[in-house]
Amino acid sequence: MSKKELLDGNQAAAWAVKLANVQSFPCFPITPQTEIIETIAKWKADGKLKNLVFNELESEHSVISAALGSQMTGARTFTATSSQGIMLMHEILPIISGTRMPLVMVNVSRALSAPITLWPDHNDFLAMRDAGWIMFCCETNQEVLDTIIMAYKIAENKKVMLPVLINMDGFIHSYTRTEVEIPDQKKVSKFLMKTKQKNRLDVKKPMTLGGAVLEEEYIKYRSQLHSAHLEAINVIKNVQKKWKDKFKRRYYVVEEYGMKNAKAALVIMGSYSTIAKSAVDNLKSKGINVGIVRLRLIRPFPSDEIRSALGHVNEIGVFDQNLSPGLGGILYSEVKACLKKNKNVSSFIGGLGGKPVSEKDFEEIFKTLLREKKEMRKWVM
Amino acid sequence: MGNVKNNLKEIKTIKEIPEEELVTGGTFACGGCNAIYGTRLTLKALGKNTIMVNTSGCMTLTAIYPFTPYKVPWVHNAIENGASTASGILMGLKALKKDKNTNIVVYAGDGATYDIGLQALSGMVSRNEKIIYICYNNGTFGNTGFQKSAATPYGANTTTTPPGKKSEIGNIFKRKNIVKMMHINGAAYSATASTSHPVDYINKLRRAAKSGGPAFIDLLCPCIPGWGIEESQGSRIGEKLVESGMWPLYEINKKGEFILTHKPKMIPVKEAMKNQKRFQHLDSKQIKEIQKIINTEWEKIKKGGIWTTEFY
Amino acid sequence: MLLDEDKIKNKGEDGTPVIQHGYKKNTGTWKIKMPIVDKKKCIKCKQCWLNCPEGAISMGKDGKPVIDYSICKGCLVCVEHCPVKAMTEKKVGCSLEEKNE
Repeated sequence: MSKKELLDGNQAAAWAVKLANVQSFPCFPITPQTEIIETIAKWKADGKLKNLVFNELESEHSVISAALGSQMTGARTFTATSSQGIMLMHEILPIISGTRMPLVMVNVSRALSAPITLWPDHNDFLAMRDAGWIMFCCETNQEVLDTIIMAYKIAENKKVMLPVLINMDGFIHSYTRTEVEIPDQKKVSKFLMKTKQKNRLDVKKPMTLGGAVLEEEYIKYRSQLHSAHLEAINVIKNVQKKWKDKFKRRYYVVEEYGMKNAKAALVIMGSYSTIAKSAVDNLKSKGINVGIVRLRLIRPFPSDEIRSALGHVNEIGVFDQNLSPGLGGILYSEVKACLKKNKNVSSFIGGLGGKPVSEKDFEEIFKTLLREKKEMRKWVM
Repeated sequence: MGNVKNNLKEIKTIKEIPEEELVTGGTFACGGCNAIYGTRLTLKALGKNTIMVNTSGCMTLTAIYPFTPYKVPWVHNAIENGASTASGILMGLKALKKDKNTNIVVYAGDGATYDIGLQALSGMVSRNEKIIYICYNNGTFGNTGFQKSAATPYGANTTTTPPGKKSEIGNIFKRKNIVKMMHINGAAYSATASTSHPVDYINKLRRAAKSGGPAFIDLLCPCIPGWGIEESQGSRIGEKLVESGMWPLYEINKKGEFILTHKPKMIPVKEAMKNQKRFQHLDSKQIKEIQKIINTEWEKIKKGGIWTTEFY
Repeated sequence: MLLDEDKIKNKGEDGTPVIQHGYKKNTGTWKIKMPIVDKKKCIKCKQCWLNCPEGAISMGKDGKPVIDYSICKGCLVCVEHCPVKAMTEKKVGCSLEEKNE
């Protein structure tokens, strides 16, 4: 039976690991991710996770290498990290997507050093956008739990076979408890039937993995990676639909909030979407019709879905909780590139290093969009 | 096909070495390459139930799509993470309950072991994982064109330590004593070996597999182009290095016993260095100095001490 | 050649180089000198077989070496290690398909 509990994001992730019958979990501590591994370690010590091999290694680089090794044997593998940790892992991430291993990893986002800080923004997560992983960015703790389970279904699909990176925001998700429904174990196990991984290290069926290719072949495999991503978006939609059928919660790759007849829209991702949504409600109650387009899926980039969500809106803002110094917001440039030229697309950068952005700030963003009717680049300071 | 029981019996002569080839020819390795020869011996010693982990280097380029010489599962990840990839494989096998009868072997170069991969190796050993880590040691970053690594012997000419007018010696640093380091780190078995002594190497591998814990073997692999030697002379040069006492063959078991597995003839160091281009710039005075250090070291060993210098 | 993106067929789990043993590569063309076995002199000591880095030498039914010239790179380690000079070197002529004598 499913049950409801007050869980923070880290605990929700740990629950998902348990429910997904993960077999192998190499880990390394880093704030604000550590509680995931602590929770699992305690369960393991209490004998609640008999089928999980749990191991703490000596660095994130080794963790992700071990995760690849483990996944290559065909065991369902999970790991989690954060901030500097994912930066240290970076070298291995393209190797995992390139060898087409269905690993699932959670990133608990935290701003990058220097200056060193503990609070979240999305630069660590978005720095991995070219690594070839499927990337989700969650808004709630429930979504974290649900997405991890769905991620295995997506990753292990024979047409996809790509690793999945799931982001939650440090502190805001990781340390804040909200009500989370924990689905029934039997139902999840049935939803996530494990099939045998074809490419694996098995002495009974020897194969060479991670071998070299010459210049004729390399581009073929890279194009394969890309086409698998393009295919994955349909698989993701399908899995999300199935999730609704089984567990009653509906997710979309691009979530539209109050977009019907909206005169202005804000594109956003992560936990700050919740604040932005209440700003939308406030404005709607005053007769100002604005909406939110929340990006849940970052890679493969849902260009078509973004275009269709924003088709009728001309005043568009993109809120970036990240910065590509010398360019601006990362989402801004990506969203703008997939929209038609006749729209006013403005950039708003804020929340770096966890600086709070209030409902008032978001209301001001919408009001500015409606008033100025031109392209702007602004910071929420 | 059921799991074949691992044959880990120790051998006395080369006639007992299995004839089955688990590495086949046709690789991009140089003619006379001792690293691929070492791979061949490794798999002969351990047999089919072996998963081999490679780190970036010459041996990575043995498997170029669509060709692979390996008849066992083989994986390349990156250069610094051979040990951690193996740890992960062990985790996966444990989860699938297949770890009991499978050898996991890392076959990594000296650059990937002494230098960039030392942290992962140390972690693997400290976690007491049943993995055999072999460092095929040619004393240089061979694949990138023979740059100095932490395993490069004192005095050697590499492309980053060339002798010149101001610096006549070549490499001025000594090697890390990695075998001792791994023993102190907690390895169940650590040893040196040389491709020139295949029976010794195969026995050491089998002891390593039987040790039940992390095992480290530093395998001397003369490098044809890197050392500037004749194609046919690889293991001959290795033999001379062993016989001169510069590359002692020994093992340190879990109890900490230092055991010499081969008594060298103590031929002059000069003789061992003679046919290697990388030592040609050294004058007789410098070679005498090296000889002196080797002699003192062996005096200590004769009195029951353990090998402490890694001068060669 | 220009190819539309949607024409790239997704091969799923096969979209990565996974190699199984079997494909043959001919490195026999590398050699400038080749080893020749004199079976009369051979004492079946297996030194040549063992020391060949490539595994290009196998032991025949008579217990004497058979060289696979299609992969032999001509490094002559076998000649070096033969204790009775049953292995000799020879410059490579036009044909690589020399018979084991």
